[in-house]
Amino acid sequence: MLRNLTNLIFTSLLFIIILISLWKNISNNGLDDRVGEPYSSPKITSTHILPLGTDDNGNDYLVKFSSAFRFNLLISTISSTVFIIVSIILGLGIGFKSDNITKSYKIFSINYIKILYFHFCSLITDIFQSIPILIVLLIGIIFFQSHLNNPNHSLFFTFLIIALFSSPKLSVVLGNHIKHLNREEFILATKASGVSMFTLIGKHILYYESKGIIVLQFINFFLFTIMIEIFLGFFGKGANGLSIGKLIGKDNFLFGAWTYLINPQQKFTLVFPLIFVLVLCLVIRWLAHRVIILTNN
Amino acid sequence: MYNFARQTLKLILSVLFSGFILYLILNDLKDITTNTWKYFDWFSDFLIGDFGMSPNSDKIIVFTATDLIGKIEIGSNYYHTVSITLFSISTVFIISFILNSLEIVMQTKKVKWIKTTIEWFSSIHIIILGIGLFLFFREDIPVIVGIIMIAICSNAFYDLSALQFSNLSTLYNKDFVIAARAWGDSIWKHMRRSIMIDSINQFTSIWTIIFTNTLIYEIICQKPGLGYLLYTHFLEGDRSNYLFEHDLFMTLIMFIIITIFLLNYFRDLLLEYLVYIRR
Repeated sequence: MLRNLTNLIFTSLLFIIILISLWKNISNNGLDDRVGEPYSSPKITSTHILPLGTDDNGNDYLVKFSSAFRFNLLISTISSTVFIIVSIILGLGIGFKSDNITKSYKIFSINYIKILYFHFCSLITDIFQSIPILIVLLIGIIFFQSHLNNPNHSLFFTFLIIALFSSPKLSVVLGNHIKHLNREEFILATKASGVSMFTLIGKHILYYESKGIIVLQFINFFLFTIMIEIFLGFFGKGANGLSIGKLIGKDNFLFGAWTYLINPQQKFTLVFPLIFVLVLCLVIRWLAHRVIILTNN
Repeated sequence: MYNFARQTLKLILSVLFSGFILYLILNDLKDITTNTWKYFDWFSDFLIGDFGMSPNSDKIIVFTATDLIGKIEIGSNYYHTVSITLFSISTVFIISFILNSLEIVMQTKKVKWIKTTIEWFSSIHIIILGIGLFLFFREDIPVIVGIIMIAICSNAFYDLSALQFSNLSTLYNKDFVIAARAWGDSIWKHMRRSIMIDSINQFTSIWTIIFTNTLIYEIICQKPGLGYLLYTHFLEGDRSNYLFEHDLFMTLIMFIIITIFLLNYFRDLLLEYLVYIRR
């Protein structure tokens, strides 16, 4: 009973999040359309539907928020995809690396290149694992902001670097899973049944055996990139367009002055992005939990 | 002795190599030969405690007993960050261990509920919670709230708890523990060594997350520490008109890198001692 109720609540919240992301297309109001007085409260009239009221310029706040959220969705999806691709490449290298390599191979033979690849994956994962992401983030921001004029490009490349350095989160788990399958002679049995290496990796290992881990880590990294964007946006280092981080960061001078704010709509616009991301965290946790249950069944 | 020498060499090479790559990146990956010499020159100065100067001629030092005018002190900030990190790790470790032990050994349902609730809370990221608290309290957030935030948020508790649960339940079902239970002997006496080995791995696996959380907490909530130094010198306001503080950034990052690699070094030595020597 409680489980069903929880699922119902989280499904509704997920539906609301999807609706917010699509609101820019649903609403008649444009991003820069002045639809009311600054900081006017939510209202539904025959001409305008303003579910979250207006912002400091009198624009529809939900349209603005929807646009910001979509930007976050876009960069998070791209960087999460890069994260998955890099992690799989490294994870396969770690997983297929044999612990006892005693045979010596000729240089430039296929087997020699394979061993080089396995060692490379292992070494790179060790390096990536030992450096805190925050340091990588700071170095990335400093490096790209001094070389690229467009803040959007700088943010995008920083996220790519973050995706590379976060890859051990999936690659190590995937590598251990492949080693476990190897110990259980799953790989040997699949090979013996005449399956090609490509099918073995793509279909049997990645899809049948590891889809749960991959989806779970994709979801986790997706949320992580949204958080990083908020962190950068809060300090004014994010994108130059609309993003959740920028929405939170543009009013950060008002932080601490909460009790002095008189207009309730101003208070609402200040706190809404935070509540939204908080709910997003919980919904994503629930989604990840559902993925684990579904893949275990 | 051979292993000790090998691990020490690995530590020195890792620190040297990581610092070198960082130095090259900060110098735009240009003129590698000159920058290599410059790096070794900077590193030898770093080893003797000469960390360089900031662009506005502030001397970078570890500790000072006098006033801070014309100086940037790193030591006290480093001490703050490391002590909060250690305190948070110990807190999360003890709570998680007690809850997991009660769940596995005592098999109580109430404990499972408490654990699940904290795990759900753990899914909230420290960035969002930190900004949320900063909205209402500004710099007045109590340290104890900060430690709870650091210890639990960003999946720190969830990751540790899941790893600990898996290790403990595997150990609890091992033949020698089942035999001890059957004889009515104390299981902790038999599980102690394995728990110690697992704990070292768990402790180091959670270190990076908690350390990052501490830096984020110091940056967002503006509390003293390495994070606050990074905030004031590299993140605060529009810094495009300022000169980049190369020496300070290198020094801060080297302190962080050395801490992390030292921790890995002690982990490897301890594991070797417990697994191979003290059998």
